[in-house]
Amino acid sequence: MAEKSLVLSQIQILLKQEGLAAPESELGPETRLKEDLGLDSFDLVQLILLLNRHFKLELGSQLLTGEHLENLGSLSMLVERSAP
Amino acid sequence: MALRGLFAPGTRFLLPAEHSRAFVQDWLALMIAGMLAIPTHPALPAAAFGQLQNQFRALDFSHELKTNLNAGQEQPPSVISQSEDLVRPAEAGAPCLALLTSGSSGEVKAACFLPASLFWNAQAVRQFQALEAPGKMAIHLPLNHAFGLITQLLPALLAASPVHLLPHQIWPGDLLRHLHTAEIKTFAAVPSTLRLILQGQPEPLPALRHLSIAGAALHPEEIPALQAAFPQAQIWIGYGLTEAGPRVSAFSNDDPEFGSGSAGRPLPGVAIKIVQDEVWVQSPSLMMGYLDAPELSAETLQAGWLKTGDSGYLSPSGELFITGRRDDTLLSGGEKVAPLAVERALQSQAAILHAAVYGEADPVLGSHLVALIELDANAEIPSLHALRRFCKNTLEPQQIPRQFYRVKTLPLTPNGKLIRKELPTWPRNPWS
Repeated sequence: MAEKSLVLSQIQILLKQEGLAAPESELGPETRLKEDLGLDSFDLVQLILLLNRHFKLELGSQLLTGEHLENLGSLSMLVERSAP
Repeated sequence: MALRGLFAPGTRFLLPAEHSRAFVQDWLALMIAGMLAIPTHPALPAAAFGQLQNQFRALDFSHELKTNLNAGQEQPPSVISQSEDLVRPAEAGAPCLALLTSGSSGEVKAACFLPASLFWNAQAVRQFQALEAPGKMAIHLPLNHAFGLITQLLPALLAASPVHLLPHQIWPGDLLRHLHTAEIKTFAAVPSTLRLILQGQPEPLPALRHLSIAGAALHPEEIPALQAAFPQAQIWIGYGLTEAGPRVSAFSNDDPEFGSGSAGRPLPGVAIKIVQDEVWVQSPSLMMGYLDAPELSAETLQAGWLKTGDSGYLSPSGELFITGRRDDTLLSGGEKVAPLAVERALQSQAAILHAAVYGEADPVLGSHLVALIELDANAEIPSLHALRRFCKNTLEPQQIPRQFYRVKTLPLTPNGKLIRKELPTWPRNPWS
């Protein structure tokens, strides 16, 4: 299983690569997906597909909740828990 | 008196379609009082809202109500009589609802409906699609669209069934939890929502009895997974469009032809004919026409028939099959998108000389938008994030391209017209 900090930093890189976060922005576990990054439901679908592909997992629908997808910290914990 | 003058029959009001009891009350009140409601996306950017106000000479309902109530001591006029039928419109001959839709060239149109048309379609759906008594219904489809408003909310109101108005932007896990804990019996969703729900092993929803698929077709091969996940639910697919008021055809998994790729059989009272490969519809629920657009209306409605702009055919046994659009309109996440509108928005940026947008298959959204951009050689190249930001501030979510590529040129005819069919294979470079 990937290290927690490694998962978080990989998500940060992916967000910047895809243009979902500004290249110069400082992202941390407290960065909120909707409020701070301004992601809409289409962006979030894109992000989930990206995470599924990158981390070779399938995030089950029951885990895709506002609680798990609130910020980068909760998202990286979700990825870590779901990783094969 | 000022308030009474403002809230007069025929006045046009833009009404943000919040998923709230207040929206439902306001909409019904306007209809009963003979005014024209134009529901809008609840999170429409202010500039776009202002443009709609100008285009349709419409007032902002909540602003006018607040301003006038605060300015004077008047109470709002009583437009609903408690002693009468709550959903009896006052002005039978005047349009009560205009639903916004975008044309293939990106212009905003407003399809107008008589009260009788709305009620006819809602009643037809109730009878034909087993919704006489829908029980607890959850609605998360947008209420500024015909599917949610006319074929979900209105049948539930007519049946006096409890309605749970869920946020349109709700996470699949939260949605599943609500459907489960509230024991929802009737629900409708676009295929992209259902695909997300089906990821992993969704918890069974034993109370769910009626599931409609909205907005876009579900691939026939996806249906077995849906049936396996919700075996006790009757699954409905169909065809409709805003201008038809909206439902045209439907059938459920009880029909032997279900899963054949068909969009169902015409509702009783609806006629379908195919004219040069295009689906034409005749129905008591057709729109009266587009608001303030007589030429476009006459082009679309001919001798009582609606030209849908969709290609299709009828099988010998009467099922409707839809094969595609006759124009450039794309479908993403169940929403129609005019590529031209997106291209115009992108080209308004100084750094962008030309832009072309097409749809690419997407495992969840059905298709997503891809933009090919020809940059001005002298301009500073915007970052991918800056481009996305710009799109967010000017376009609706479904209109925003999910992938951007740089191109040296675009495929054009000698007359300078974009050759869209060449876009998917056109040479491109990654953005950065």
